[in-house]
Amino acid sequence: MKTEVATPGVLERIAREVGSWSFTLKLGLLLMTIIIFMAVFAPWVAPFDPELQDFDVILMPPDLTHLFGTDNLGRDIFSRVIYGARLDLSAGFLMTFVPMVYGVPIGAYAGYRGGWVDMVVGSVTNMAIAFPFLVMIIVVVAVIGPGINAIFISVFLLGWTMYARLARAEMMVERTKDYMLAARVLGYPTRIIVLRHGVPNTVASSVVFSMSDFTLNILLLSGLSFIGLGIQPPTPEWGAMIADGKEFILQAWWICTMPGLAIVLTGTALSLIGDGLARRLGSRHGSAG
Amino acid sequence: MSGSGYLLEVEDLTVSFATRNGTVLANDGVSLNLRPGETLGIVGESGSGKSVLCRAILGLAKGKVTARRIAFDGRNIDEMQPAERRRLRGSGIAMVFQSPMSSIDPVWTIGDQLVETVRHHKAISRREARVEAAALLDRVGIASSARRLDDYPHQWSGGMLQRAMIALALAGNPRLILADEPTTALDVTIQDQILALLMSLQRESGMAMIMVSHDLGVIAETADRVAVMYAGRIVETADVRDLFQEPQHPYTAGLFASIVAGSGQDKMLMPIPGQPPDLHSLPAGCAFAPRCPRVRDNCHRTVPRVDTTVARGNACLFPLSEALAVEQRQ
Amino acid sequence: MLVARYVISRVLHTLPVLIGVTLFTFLAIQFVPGDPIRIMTRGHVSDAEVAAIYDRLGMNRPLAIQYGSFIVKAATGDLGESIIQNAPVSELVGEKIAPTMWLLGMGTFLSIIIALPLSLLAAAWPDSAFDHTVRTASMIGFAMPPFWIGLLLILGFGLHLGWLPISGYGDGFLGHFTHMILPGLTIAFFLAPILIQSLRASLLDALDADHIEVARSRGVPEWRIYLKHALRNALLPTLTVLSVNISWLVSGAVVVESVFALPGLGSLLIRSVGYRDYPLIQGLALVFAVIVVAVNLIADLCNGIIDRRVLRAT
Repeated sequence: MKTEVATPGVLERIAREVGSWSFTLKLGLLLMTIIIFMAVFAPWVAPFDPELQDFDVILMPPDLTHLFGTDNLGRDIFSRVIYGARLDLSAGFLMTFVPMVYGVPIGAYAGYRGGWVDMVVGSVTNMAIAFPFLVMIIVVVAVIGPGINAIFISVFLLGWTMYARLARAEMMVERTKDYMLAARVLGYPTRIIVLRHGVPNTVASSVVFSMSDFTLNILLLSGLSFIGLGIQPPTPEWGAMIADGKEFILQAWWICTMPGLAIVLTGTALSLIGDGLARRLGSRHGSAG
Repeated sequence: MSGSGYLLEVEDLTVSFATRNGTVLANDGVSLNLRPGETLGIVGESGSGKSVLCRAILGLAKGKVTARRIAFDGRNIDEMQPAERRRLRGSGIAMVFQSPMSSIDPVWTIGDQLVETVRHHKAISRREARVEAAALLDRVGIASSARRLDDYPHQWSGGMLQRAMIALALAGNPRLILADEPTTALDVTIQDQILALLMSLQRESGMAMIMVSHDLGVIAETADRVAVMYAGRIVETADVRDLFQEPQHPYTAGLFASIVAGSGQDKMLMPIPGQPPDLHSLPAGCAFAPRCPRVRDNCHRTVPRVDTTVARGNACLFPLSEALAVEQRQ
Repeated sequence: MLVARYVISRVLHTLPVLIGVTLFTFLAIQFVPGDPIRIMTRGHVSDAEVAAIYDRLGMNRPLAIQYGSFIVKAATGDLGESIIQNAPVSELVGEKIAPTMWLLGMGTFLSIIIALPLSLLAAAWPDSAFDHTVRTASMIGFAMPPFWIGLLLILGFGLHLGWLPISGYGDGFLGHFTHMILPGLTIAFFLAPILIQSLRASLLDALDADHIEVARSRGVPEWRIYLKHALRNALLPTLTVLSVNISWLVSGAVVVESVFALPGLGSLLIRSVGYRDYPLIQGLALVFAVIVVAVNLIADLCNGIIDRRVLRAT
């Protein structure tokens, strides 16, 4: 008797939820899962050691052994791309979601309180959003040297602002609603109101944006590595690989092209998820029928 | 085919929408006639289908429109090519909408939009069109019309914007104006002014008008004849005086009763019992039956229809006049 | 006058950004481990000379004064002096600013040329095969790294087809123009998808507005409704999107300059990092901020022209 009531409910709900997902969302998630899978299981999926140099096979075009060909040092591009995924994906993940974790509550709080808190947060937000991020990161690189730390410092310092702005905008709408008023009447302290009630209801646009942000952050990291100020060789990273292949572009187009395709594929998968999420989450905000 | 003398003839108009929960008939078998210069009032609550009716006549309805006949000045407009039908808009039939604040494009000047409409109906130069635009604003009672042409909509009040909308509607010299709740979004004091304006414009140009409203006061002031709508169907038609003095359909009677009546301390609110109909699941038979105080068995089986060939008709199997007759017999 | 007030208000809004950026850069440089002057001069100078440089640059003064002095001087166009290259920063900037502006201009121009017709057509027939193609292509284009696209364009149009020049800046207006086509196109690959998504969505929104139906009831032809009424209303949110994304545009420009070997501010910035030319870096940060802010200002002004309601709200 007990199992009849408990289990089917949960599984059924999950099945119905997943069933309601659009094709876009499912496709994006599928692609992303494959990419993440390959990154996580890189040591087993990659046929070669990404840093293994073999001067017998330099600048070979793609074939059955070397699916993506080899570079000027005889390294297997396919393996390097897979290992590069580890770096780009994990860095991109941190660059996107860590700032979101504190950006959304800050924005929600500012939107809820209003007053000078809102003004301060608003000014800081406007300042940060208006400035070209890459230039900022380059400044930091000038101070502490090239590498991934410069990116992390800049992103953690300033990347939260976009999420704060989005959350604040949603909070301005939410705070007029009755459940907010009810919580205040019941005597809830502000931080509970904001964190437990405000944030979950204002997080939708931030979640959708995080997918674009993820893509932009990967582009940022690879761009920085491309101009030599990011990940240093021989660590495989997509942008750095493209830079490596620049001088061989005529003889060995695959060195540049393959990592780029990896970026495009990842970015597209993320955009698909973002689109699908937008539709799924947007419907909750929309009209009742 | 213009022998009938009617300016507008609508026969058996049905507008259906496909929704997630099934098909909804926003208009179900609506028929009406209008003579030149006449004002037909259409009364009904929200959801009764009166706004959809106006749009369907203009060919702007969003759902699927079928009718046995929609004729304007003797010509069948429901069978026209879209381009031909569009030419009719503004010049033959024009419409005044409910909320003037959102009905005029905010990024262009008033004058610009007037000129656009005028030039659309007449091949004249921009300068001549401006002169006409100013004249139109004069007609609707906007002072300093020449200067006002370069104003933006956000600079005007609701009342002024409604006058502008009327001017836009008049730009093509239409013979029929569809006024869809033209005063609902305005202040009470302005409402009278706008209604007076519409009626005087009507008198001087001989236009016919369909005045749609849920406000019986507005209908009383403006209409010659009235059609009452409920759940997408017409339930009663009559001359305005007859309707107000002796309503036949129980719904109409209920509408009058629900206006605050009585004087002094005896003011009572007598709403019509029950809920407004859900168009997704209308009852078989008369749509008003669930709320009707005079309901009998038959009411649940047949859908009564108004006979539009007579001047006065109602869609009720047991109209109030019958009861009267029965009482009188007794 | 209402317009003047709006302009002044918008200009004042830019000040926090400029201050924020310069403050950030200024403070960041203070964190340089070790002695910045020694790093810049790489130990080629004696202790006495280092002390003299410190004095000359006023770097012994309290931080607040240094910062204040920088701001005041910057307002008059004096952005400090580059130790490494022995020239005023403003002079170096002046030499290199033209290619960067060309790049930004060409990139924006090409993006608009691509995005406008595609959005108009896609919104006219929503959910059609064309619409889906445009949206998918946009999505993929957005994910393409500018430097990668740049290389592919060089490979395709430059090396294989030989149609367009692939590096450098060229001479004269026509030279500049042809040299900027590929770099501009590279930027457009990134910017156009953003514009398309925004414009298409706002067109569909605009078409839903009440006054569109009213215009139809007046008999205004559909094409006119679309181009005159819907489009103009749809431009407003798109302009906002454009100005928010300007900073990404500038970031992309820095990288693209590297790919196409354009002698612009981006290349200057990258080189100055290599040389640890801190005064130059500081000046450049301000210049980039001014560029972003200026473009935002222009977008705001366009906003005010298209929609007069905005002027009223200041």
